[in-house]
Order: sequence, then structure tokens, then C-alpha cells
Amino acid sequence: MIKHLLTLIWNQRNGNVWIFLELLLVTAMLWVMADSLLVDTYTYRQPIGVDTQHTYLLSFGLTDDVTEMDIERNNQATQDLLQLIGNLRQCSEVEAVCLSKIATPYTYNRGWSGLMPVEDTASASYAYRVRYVDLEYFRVFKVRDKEGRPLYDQVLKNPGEVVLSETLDEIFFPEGSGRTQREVKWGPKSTESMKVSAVSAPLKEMDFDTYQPTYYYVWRTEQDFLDEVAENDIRFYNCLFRMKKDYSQQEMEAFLQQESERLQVGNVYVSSVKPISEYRADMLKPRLDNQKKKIAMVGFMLVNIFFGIVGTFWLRTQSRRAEIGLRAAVGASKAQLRRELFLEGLFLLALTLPFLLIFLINMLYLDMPDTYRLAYTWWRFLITLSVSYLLMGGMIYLGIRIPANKITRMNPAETLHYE
Amino acid sequence: MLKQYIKQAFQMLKENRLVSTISITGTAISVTMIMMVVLVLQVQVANYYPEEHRDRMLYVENGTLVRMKENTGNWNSGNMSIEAVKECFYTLQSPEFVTAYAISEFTVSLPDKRNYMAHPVKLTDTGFWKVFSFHFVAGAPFTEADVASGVPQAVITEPLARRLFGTIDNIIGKEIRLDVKPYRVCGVVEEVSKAAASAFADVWIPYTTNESCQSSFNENMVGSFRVLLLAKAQGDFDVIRQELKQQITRYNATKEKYEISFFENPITQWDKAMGTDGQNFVDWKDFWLETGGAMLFLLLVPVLNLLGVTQSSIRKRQAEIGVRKAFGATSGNIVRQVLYENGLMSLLGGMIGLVLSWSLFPLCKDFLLKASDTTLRAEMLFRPEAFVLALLFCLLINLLSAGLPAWWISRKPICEALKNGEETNK
Repeated sequence: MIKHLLTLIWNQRNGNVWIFLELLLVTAMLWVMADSLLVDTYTYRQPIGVDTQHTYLLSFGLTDDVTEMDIERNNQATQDLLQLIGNLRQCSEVEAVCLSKIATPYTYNRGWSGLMPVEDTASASYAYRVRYVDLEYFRVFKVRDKEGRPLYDQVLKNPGEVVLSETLDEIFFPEGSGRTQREVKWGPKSTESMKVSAVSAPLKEMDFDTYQPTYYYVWRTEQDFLDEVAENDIRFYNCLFRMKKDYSQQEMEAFLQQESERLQVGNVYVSSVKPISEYRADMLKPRLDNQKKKIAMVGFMLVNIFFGIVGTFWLRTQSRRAEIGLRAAVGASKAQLRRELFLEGLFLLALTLPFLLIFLINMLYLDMPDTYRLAYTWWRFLITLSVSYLLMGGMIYLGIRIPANKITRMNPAETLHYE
Repeated sequence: MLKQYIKQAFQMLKENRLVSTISITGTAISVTMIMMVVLVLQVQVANYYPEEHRDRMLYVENGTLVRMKENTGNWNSGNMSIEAVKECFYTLQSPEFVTAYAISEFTVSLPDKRNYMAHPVKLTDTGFWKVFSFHFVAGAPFTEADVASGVPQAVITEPLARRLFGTIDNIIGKEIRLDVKPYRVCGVVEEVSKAAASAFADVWIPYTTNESCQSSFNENMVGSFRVLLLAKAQGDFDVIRQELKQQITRYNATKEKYEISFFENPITQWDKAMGTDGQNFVDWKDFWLETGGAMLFLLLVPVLNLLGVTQSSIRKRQAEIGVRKAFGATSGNIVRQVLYENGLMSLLGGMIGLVLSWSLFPLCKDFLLKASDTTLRAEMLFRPEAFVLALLFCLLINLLSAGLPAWWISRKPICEALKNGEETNK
């Protein structure tokens, strides 16, 4: 059977070469796209470690905005801001309000700082992603530990200024290292040590990234925060909050207008309120656009394959009318004739496999697929390859159906009559 | 003769419906896809409201580098201070107009009703209104005197005016609040598309009315201003760059520790469209290698399809062509005939593709263009260049898909063509 098919394909090599080239080109492109979409989807499905639903960034301003901030004005503004936050907490629609620095999800406002285990004798510490937050932050973003329990309760219970992400915890205190007491310091020369209060689920900056070793530095009390701000400009800090339920833009606007009197204390006023989902949409847009473009390309290629197959096989059934009529006359059933046509198409596709494998090995050798976000494993290879071939096979099946149906409508006597 | 070819082509179109459909649809889809790429580029480089002179513009946006003269490892990249704008750019002689702007976000409210949604705001000078051609539906831009003395005047867009006041009549001189600061509306302009990114905003105010945009660091060189230059003619670009170089050297000489430079800036609109963003310069070769590669792929896949189809249909006509050759048609005649016949289908497909791309583009704009919710204007899409390019791609598809089979058949010896043709058509 296979030999027969091969002979058939070889005898029609003149008509087959173009469609074969097209199948090869498109299968290779399909594989490239399936692979990158797989990696994207895989990383996208890993949670980023904070729940940003119903959360907002509150931008505040000072009525007497100046470029230089003196200590007294800074202290006054801090007090006013704390009171404003207190007002916001009293609103029954608001679930939690927090203060933070370089910890707003989906923004480029980020920072890194050195940290190392207290027993570590290395001469330098690595800089890891740090987020400065107060206790409420864990409630606003519903941060969880690796077992999925709310982190807030644990941080409240266990003393310590530092919360490690699971990724960083594995670097600092790998299992079996014997380091049971979790204490860290800023650098090799630090004399003070800090207790690790809890370990959070792994964290990343956005959905399409991989997990990054990250830690939270926690202001446990209001005094901790005041001490911190005493040396820094209050305008560099962020106020974030979570609403109890979903609010549309109009509803949110109405809520804020209704509370507008509470939203100004002394010199500090609420300038604007923007949902984190908007920051998220902005940050993910380039990646999502890219995906959509790829999907459009996949669609384009599949439609082309469909047309190519219809065209080639249609013309073929026409020019082989006599042969088909003869075969039908000597006893081939219609189903058999159809099946042969399908097999011929699929076999043509199967012939691309060795070439594709060569292409694939080359790509892997050049390290073109994204192996940073997802290691190249057998399951990745099998999924992408089978998806590409299934899609191609499906299109070929659909494409051959039209000429195949024509065959079943042929009357052997009539086709032979052309002879 | 041409008439004969066209007649014959139409006849063939009708005779083999399926093959014609495949050829036409294949070409149409290919042209649609390619034209989408072209339209994206067109939106990025064409002149339209209010950026009517993009072809004569030069940009310094996010492309300022300030570093220490001694220790060049200590640097700051971003935008420049108003002092740097004044010293290096305002004093340029060769450009027609120069403008600088900073961007910010403010809530816009009426005195009696506070809003909390932030709007994009540009803090700029009077040159802005000369570099761009805004249509004022009411009022006028703020004046030189307003900028000089920091009079809180604001130009707003028509949609924003309607949202705030419910009308655009009699609103000139009325008070609005940006955050908590009072401003007076001095002009209302037609809405600006986000695709015109340099001009785009909801509100424009004199930069002198805002303190924080004027703050500067590193010996007053780092700040938040970007600069746009409008040249008198495209040929002046080099002159302007040359003059700017002298200005920079002079300005740097007045500084003790730091020096300013602008990477590859000022850049043109084409540079921007090719992905240069002020600090990372994209070479046109790299860009065309990538975009051209994508376009070639979009051409090549359908061409392979069509090749198979034309090859088969030509083979069926071997006898006819043999006869024509026997009666004295040259190979050139034959090739031309095949190309003309096929050209009709390509042309039909191409036109369908062009119309399809125009109608699909607004649906796909959200993922094709950089900014979401970009408003499209007719003059962005319906341009003669688009038409010419679509025609060009049709010809290319035609040449590639029919050229090879035509050449093959024209080279066949007459008797062989006649004999084979007889066999195929038995």
C-alpha cells in the first residue's frame, strides 16, 4: 500500500512539488508558532503571586507642590496622608488600604537590593528584587504562602521584617542545608540580622515572566513607616487599596465623588484613582498583541493550505478521471477510492517529517526556541509537533473532501466514456 | 491582441470556477495580509491631522543622555531640562519651528464636581501650535505672553469639553481644575488620534504653570522635556543636525561636571516607525530584513498554492499553445498571454484584498497598533500609496505564480507540446 502511494506521488511529482514545498514551509512555521504560543501559555497560567482583582492605585498630590521638600513639610504631609488613609479605611466599600514602595504590580517602578542568609560567609551579597510594604499590603493583594493560606495571618503571628518568596527561600535555605533558623542580613558587613517572618508563594512581575527571587521588607507598625519616611520624600510612596466588590469605572467615580470630602486632609489630596487592571492591560498589551498576530498568521497559513490542497487534488481528480473510472469498473468501491485520495494527501504530509526534524534540530542547536522560560522537554516537543501535524492533517482532510466527493458522484460508465 | 487575451481570460475564469475561486481568494488573502502590514506602517509615517508635516519633522523623545565628564560610567538617560531646551534647541536657526513638551496626567474637573479619572496632559510652549496643525473648533491656543508669565490657560479636546460641559458653546474662559489647580479654557480642538503620539493629549497647558515638570538634576541638564523640530525642507535635516552639534558643544563647555548628548537623535518619523525609540537605534537594514521577510512569507505561501494550480491548467492547454506556436507565436507571446490571463485573476484578487484590508484594519487595530483605542481617520488609510502598493503586490504574485509555468511551456518544442497535449486531453 505504502509503496503504491509512493509510486502515485512520485508519478505526479510535477504537480506535487509545489504543494509539498508549501506543506513543508507551513508545517515548519506552524511548529515555530505552536512552540512560542505553548511557552507563552505555560508561563501565563502560572499565577503572579498577588491577586490584583478589585485593587487600585491611589495617586495623591500636595496642594502646595514644590520641587524641594523640607523635613517639616514632609512630616506634615506624612501625617495628613496617614489620616487620609484612615478615612478611606472607614468607608464600608473598601476592604483594605496599604502603603508601599516599589511594590505596585504591573508597573516599571521596581527596585533591587542586596540580601543574604545570616550564616553566609560570602564576601558579597546578590541584589534581589525587593518590595517595601506594610502589613496591610498582604491583605490588599491577598498574598498567600506556598500552601495557599493567607500570608497576612502568618506575618502577623511570626515576628520578623522580611518575607521571602518561595524562589528566594529555595536559594537561601535549600532543603537539607541544615539552615533551619531563617535569618538574613543586608550584606557581608551587616552586623544586624533580620528574622524571616514567612515565605510567600513564588512571585513574578507579570504574567508572561518567569518567577524571580523576590523579598518583601515589611513595616510592621505605623512607627516603622514613620521612621522610614523621616529620611525620604513622602511622594515616592504608593497608596494601594482593594474594594470589596467589582466596580465599573462610573461606579468607582461615583463612590469617590460621594466620599470626596474625606479624600482631602490638609495639604494632601487624592489626585486620581486607577485600577491595577488598567496597568496590567498596558503592560501585557505588547505580548498579547504579538500572540494575536501569531494566531492570525496561523489562520492565514491554514486557509492557504486548504486552498492549495483543494486546487491540487481537484485538478488531479480531473486529469485522472479515466484511471479512476477504470478502477471503479473493475470493482473498487467508492469508499476505497476516497480513502486512497485521503491517504495520498496525508502521506504527502508525512513525507515532510524528516525535513522538519532536520529543521527542528537546527533550531534547537541554534537555541532559537525560548528555553529560558520553559526547558525543552519531550512533552514540549511532542505537543508542539503533534499540534502542528494535527492542524495540517485537519486542513488536508477538509481540502480533499471536495474533490473526493466529486469522485463518489462519478459514474464509471460515463468516466470511461471519455476514453 | 490584449482584448483577445482578456476575453479568453474571462472565458477561462467562467469555465473553471473552482480554480478561479482558489486563485482569486488565494491572492485576495495574501494581499489582505500584506496590506495590513503596509497600513500599520502607513499609520506610523503618513501625514495626517494634526501631525501634517511628519515628513519634515525631527524628534528628540526619551533620547537624552547626561553623564559625568570624568566618570562616564555615571549616567542618566531620559529627557532634558528646560534649560537644555533653551540653550540647545530654541536657539537653533535652521529649523522652521521648535517646540518642547513634557507629559503628565491630571484629573480634569469642574469647580463644583471633582472627577478622579486621570487624563493625559502635555505641558508645552507656543511653538507646539506651529509645529502641529490643530483645528480649533473654538477659541485659540495660549499665547507667548501666557507662557512667559505662567498664566493658567488650557486647550482641551472637543470630546473632553463635551464630557465636562455637555456643549462646546460659550465655554472659552470657563474654569476647569487640573487636579486641584484652576485653569481657564482658552481653546477647544478637534479630537487627536493616539496614533499621532507626539501631538496627542486631552489637555495642553503652558509648561510654566507647573512646577514639577521644570525640576532638573545634574547641573540642570536632566529634566522631563522632549523636543520636536520642524525643518523647512527634508533636505535640511543634516544642516540641523550639524548646527545642533555645535550648540551641544557650546552648552557642554559651560558645565563643570556633566555633559549632555542625544544618542542618535534627532530622528525622523521613519526611524520612529522602524522601532527606534530614542535610545535604541534600529538600522533600516535590520528593519527591512525583518518586515521584508514577513512580507515575503505572506507572498510565498499563496504563490506556492497558485503555482500548483497554474501549472496543472497550463499543462492541460499544451495542445492549444503548441498550435499557436506552430502558427508562429514566439515564446515571448506565449509568456505574455499566460501572464495577462493570470493577471486578470491576480488583479481581481488584489482589489478584493485591498478592500478587505481596509475593512478588517479597523477591527484589528487594537492589536496591530501600539496604543489601544486608537481612533482612525480616513486620511490614515485611504491613500494613493496604498493603492499603488497593492497593485504592485498583485503584479508580483502574478509574475511569481504564472511566470514559471509560462516559461516552462513556452520552451517546450512544438511537436512535443502537441503530442503531450493530445495525450492529456484525450
